[in-house]
Amino acid sequence: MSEASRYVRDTLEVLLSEVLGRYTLPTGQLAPAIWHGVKPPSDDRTVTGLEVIVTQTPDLEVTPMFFRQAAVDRSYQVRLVNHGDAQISEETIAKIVHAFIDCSVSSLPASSFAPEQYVFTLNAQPILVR
Amino acid sequence: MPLNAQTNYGFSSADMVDGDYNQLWVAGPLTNGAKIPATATITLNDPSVAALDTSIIVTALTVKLFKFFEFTLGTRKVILTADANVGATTLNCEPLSGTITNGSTVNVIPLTPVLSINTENYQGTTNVTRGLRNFGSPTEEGADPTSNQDQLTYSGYLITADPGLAILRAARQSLQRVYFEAIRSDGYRKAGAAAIQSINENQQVGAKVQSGFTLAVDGAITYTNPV
Repeated sequence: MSEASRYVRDTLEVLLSEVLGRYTLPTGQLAPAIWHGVKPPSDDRTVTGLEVIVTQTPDLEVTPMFFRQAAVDRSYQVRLVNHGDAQISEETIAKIVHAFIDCSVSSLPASSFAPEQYVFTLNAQPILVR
Repeated sequence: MPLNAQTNYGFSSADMVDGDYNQLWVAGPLTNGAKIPATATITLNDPSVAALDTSIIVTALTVKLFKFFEFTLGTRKVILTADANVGATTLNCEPLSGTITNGSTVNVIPLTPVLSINTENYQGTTNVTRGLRNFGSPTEEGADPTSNQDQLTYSGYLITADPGLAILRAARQSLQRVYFEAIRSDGYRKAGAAAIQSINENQQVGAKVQSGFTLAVDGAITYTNPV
């Protein structure tokens, strides 16, 4: 399962390279602000600009079929979190939609509790379990 | 009286069947006029078959046998757990219930599974005519059955390498029948010859490709109750 989410992460890193923010790691090193894991982003780092969080755990939907088979749909959640001042551009959204056309997206406008965010659900190729 | 499902209705899981073990097997296309395909012989070539064995040795297969294919060899039911190609001499199977005499043979219809389905709709329709069979006798008035026009409609999600669907497509292209065995989870079996009345495929961006077909049964269906 993690292979597909790794592909999502790597694709987004290239796709959004020009707008991706930066993590400042505990060592002081800078790294692209893209997180991929089963846990939420580590709090040992600070972030500036656009942060991308790719969940490694897919949402699964199982459809049983004849002969003890099952079709398994997988989708991965990607969250864009805007820690900067400039709005997340439509071009950034369009790039992601174009790369992962089978997807849905919802927006969370900035509030006093949380920054502006977009949540993508990217549907991966279904797999067949036999 | 208070509603108490257990005492009032006696619910029992044995009264109902779900479709978790449903299967549809086909063979063909059949030569014109035929309703049952040619059989193949499976011969045990294994002197030491014992209870709980999960494989048996046979003389080289002349047909491909698929996972879940089931046959009786000697007195034992054998259910394959893996495909076995033409020429194979080892059949992997579910644990056997006991010994089988070496040299035992069985003739089987080599069936191919249709994998791209998850629903079956069986409609047993009888052609009827209405009228008086004996003029002047009102008790004889009614519908006369003339023939069966049963149909089985299947749908599901397309699996590209579906060997059974390939047979159905070929039969439709050549306007030939297929032989089918539809097995319900509890072992209830419907078998017979059928024409491919329709075959369809629905595609939508962002969704699994859907597949479906309707078998128009030719003649009577053979029903077999679970053993």
